[in-house]
Amino acid sequence: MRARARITGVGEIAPTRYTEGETVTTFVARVAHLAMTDAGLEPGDVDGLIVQNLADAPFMGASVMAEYLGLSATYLDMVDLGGASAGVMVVRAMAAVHAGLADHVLCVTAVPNERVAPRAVGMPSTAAAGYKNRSAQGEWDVPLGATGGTFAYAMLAQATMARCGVTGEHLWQIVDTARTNASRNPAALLFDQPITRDEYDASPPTCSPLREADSIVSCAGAGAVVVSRATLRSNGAGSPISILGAGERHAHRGIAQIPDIAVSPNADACRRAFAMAGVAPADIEVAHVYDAFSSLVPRALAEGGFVAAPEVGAWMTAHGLGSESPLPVNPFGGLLGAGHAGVAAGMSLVTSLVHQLQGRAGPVQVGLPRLGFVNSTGGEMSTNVALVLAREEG
Amino acid sequence: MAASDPFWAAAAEGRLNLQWSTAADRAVQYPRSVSPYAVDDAVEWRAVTPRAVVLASTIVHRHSHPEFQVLCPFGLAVVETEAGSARLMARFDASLDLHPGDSVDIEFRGEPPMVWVTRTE
Repeated sequence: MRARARITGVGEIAPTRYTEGETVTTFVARVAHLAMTDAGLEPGDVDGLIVQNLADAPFMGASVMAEYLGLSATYLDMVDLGGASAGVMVVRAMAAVHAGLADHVLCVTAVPNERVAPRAVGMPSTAAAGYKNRSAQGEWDVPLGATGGTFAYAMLAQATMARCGVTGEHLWQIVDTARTNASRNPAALLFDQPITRDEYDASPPTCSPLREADSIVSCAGAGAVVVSRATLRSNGAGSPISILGAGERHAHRGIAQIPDIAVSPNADACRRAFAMAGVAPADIEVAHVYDAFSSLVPRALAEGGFVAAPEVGAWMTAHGLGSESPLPVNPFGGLLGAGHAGVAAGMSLVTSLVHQLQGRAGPVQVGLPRLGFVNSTGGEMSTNVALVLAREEG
Repeated sequence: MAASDPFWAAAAEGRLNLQWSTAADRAVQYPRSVSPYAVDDAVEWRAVTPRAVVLASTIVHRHSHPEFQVLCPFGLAVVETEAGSARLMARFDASLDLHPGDSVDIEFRGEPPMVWVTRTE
């Protein structure tokens, strides 16, 4: 049987007792370039990257390394399986190519051995010095106070409001809808915490144009799914929910490096998911979007292709986002209403959508939708994923 | 030696020097040990006029870290240099009403130097 994936380039750096002036980042970059050169590829050709657990970048390391290498990726992964990691990277790359997620996946392992531990670069402030992150963000953003994420989403909100006809009234509408939905969901963190307009207006500004009430409340939580081969009979308690389409796009790590702040890489992640699914945004009956900040909802409506960007604000005013809307958004309360449990927040969007499509959403069930959409983002709109899910009959 | 050492050395003297990609004829910012544009790229350092345009801005009113909370309110901007299209994160004074599209001058304040911007006169 003809293989669907082939190794087209190899990079090797000969073993030495010690490296000279290499960090994990520079050593990864060096051997990555050797492999790309051998493959006859430029950074712009490589759309997948798989890395080891990276000491220089303890958070979102694959995203950090992709940005460093200048890659715009539709597949990112990190394999931390000891001695088998490298071989498993090749398996993951084969599966990614086979699934149509990427064309050229770079798999990189690099282990320097310096006589003296590398110094942290460009970290003048106390806060930055304590910041273990030796990535670009640690050098260029942290010392300025550009940390914590809110500042980046505030900048993204600035662009969204300019592009999408969105005002503070719409941000209030999103928060109001989320809290109202949450009030119908006993499992929501803010189930019993409604917010009035006066309370919203009095909510302190965090990073302009956002207020504290425009952002999530962090909490504990957990979620898991089982993804099974479609040809297997399901013994599940609920109807099996098909993954019709999936898409990713990760083109930067720090917001200063975003290719276009008006139209983020999330737009391409959504486009890829719909293309794989063979359905259009207009076919979607319920959308679960990553409302870590209220301003991300109108951006998702535009970038998901649901509403033309300049018309988003007017559309929200005319149709709303609640159960009566032609496109209900986050009927379970969303992250704003149900709570944001760190990396588990994105899973809550998936599990609650599965329940919605299965008719198991209880008090927040909105009709019996067949086709749903999940869109999540991470970092500083750095990592983006979209899924098209469906309850297929028969 | 880190790839960014020449940037900070020039910044300490008030000058904007950028790593430059010959293959792409544009700046590499942030500077790094390999070119993000090409596998075969002659990278050099160039002195450039410290002029940029604001792409995004925000005023930080509250910060989760105490060291930065005491500095609130302060401005953060993403700017793109006129020469080389380098992207930089920059601090600006909260009293400035900076918006996307504004022309700004890049300067370096403090020791060690930090990237600041002011509105171009």
